[in-house]
This record gives sequence, structure tokens and C-alpha cells, in this order.
Amino acid sequence: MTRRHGVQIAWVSAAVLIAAGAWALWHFGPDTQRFFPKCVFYEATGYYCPGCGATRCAHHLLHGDVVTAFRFNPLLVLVLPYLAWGLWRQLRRAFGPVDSTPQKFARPWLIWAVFVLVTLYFILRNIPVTPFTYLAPPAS
Amino acid sequence: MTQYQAPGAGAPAPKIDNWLWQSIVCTICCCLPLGIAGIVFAAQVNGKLAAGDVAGAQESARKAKMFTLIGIGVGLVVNIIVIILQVVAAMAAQQ
Repeated sequence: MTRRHGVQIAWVSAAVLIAAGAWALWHFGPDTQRFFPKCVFYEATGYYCPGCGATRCAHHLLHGDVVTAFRFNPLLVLVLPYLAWGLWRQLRRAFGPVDSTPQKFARPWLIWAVFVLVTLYFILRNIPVTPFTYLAPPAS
Repeated sequence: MTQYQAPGAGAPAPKIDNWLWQSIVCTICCCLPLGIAGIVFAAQVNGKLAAGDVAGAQESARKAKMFTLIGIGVGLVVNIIVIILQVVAAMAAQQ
């Protein structure tokens, strides 16, 4: 077994896990079921992290309700196309031509901009004043 | 961003995965501090590559990968523990 085979097996295993997770998330609403994990960071500190609301966001996305999903975690909805593109390139590298590039998104200033965006988002969504409250997940 | 001419220009730039999208997933989905560290190292990969520092870029890529994978691993383990605790608590509450 080559390293490439190992990577392929890891991807297939991950796909099965993700599909199972997506099914559970689609079928059970995080608002009504208790077994979905609450954000550990929020429980510990009382502050919203950049990921707070992501579970409910993904639940509404799976039901095609982009507007509600956006309300729970706008950053996740906005970066989702990029994440999907990154995943696609990674999969193409694992299963497609051997010498394909994993990523072409390679401008340093853009990546620093992502860093600044995530950090600002983290800070701003914790300011309890309109309009910043729209960045925080609504209470449910 | 200053554009340096890499030494041995004309040779194809080495392909180094910067682990950016994975570190964003890590930041948003499970383990925040390690994901942000991953984003910082991802930015360093391409900064160093643009400056012709291939060894430095590979080192940063290694760190980006390490922080992201540890972050995702820690996030998964912590969340699974939380799920188990919540299921146990819910079952205890029903009795």
C-alpha cells in the first residue's frame, strides 16, 4: 500500500463520517435535540467564537434555508464556497492526476486578510450593540 | 507585497500545500486557537515562497499542518466527550 492509497482510504473514511454527521444534522434540529454539543468555548467563557452558531447554520443550510443559516453564522456561509473549492482541489490531488496542485489560492496579503477578517469577526460579534449583534447567533 | 525574484527563477515554483482551507474549517468548526495559528502559518508559507525561501515555506507548511490537525483532533475528541456527557445527562434526567 502506498502513501497515496493511505490518503485515499482516509478520505473515504472521512466521507462516510461526514455523511453520517450531515444526515444527523439534517434530520435532528440542534434547537430541539440535546445531544448536539454546545460550543465548549462559549460554555467556558461566555464569549462567542468564530464558530458559534455553526451547527445551527449547517442545519439550516442542509434544508436549503440560506437566509436563516446566514443569521446564525454569516462567516461560515461566506467562506463556504472557498472551503468547497479547497476540498475539491484536495480530492483531485488524492484521486486525480498525481502532480496536481493542492491549492492555488496563494497570495500572502489575501491570506493575511483572511486572518484579519476572522479576528475582527471574533471581536465584533461579542460587542452587544446593534449592528454587531447581527453577527452573533440569535438566542434559541 | 514586495515581489522578490526567486533564486533560480524560471524553474517551476515548488508546490507546497499551505493548509489554509483546512485551518479555516478548524477555526470555525472545532478548535479556535489552533485554527487561527494554522491560518497564520498558512500565510507564512506563501509569503516565504514569494521571497524564494523554500525551506522556510516548507517549515511553515509543516507547522500549519500540525496545528490544524491537532486542532481538528482536539476538537473532535472534546466534542465527542461533550456529546457522551449530554446523552448521559439526558438519560439520567429521564429516570
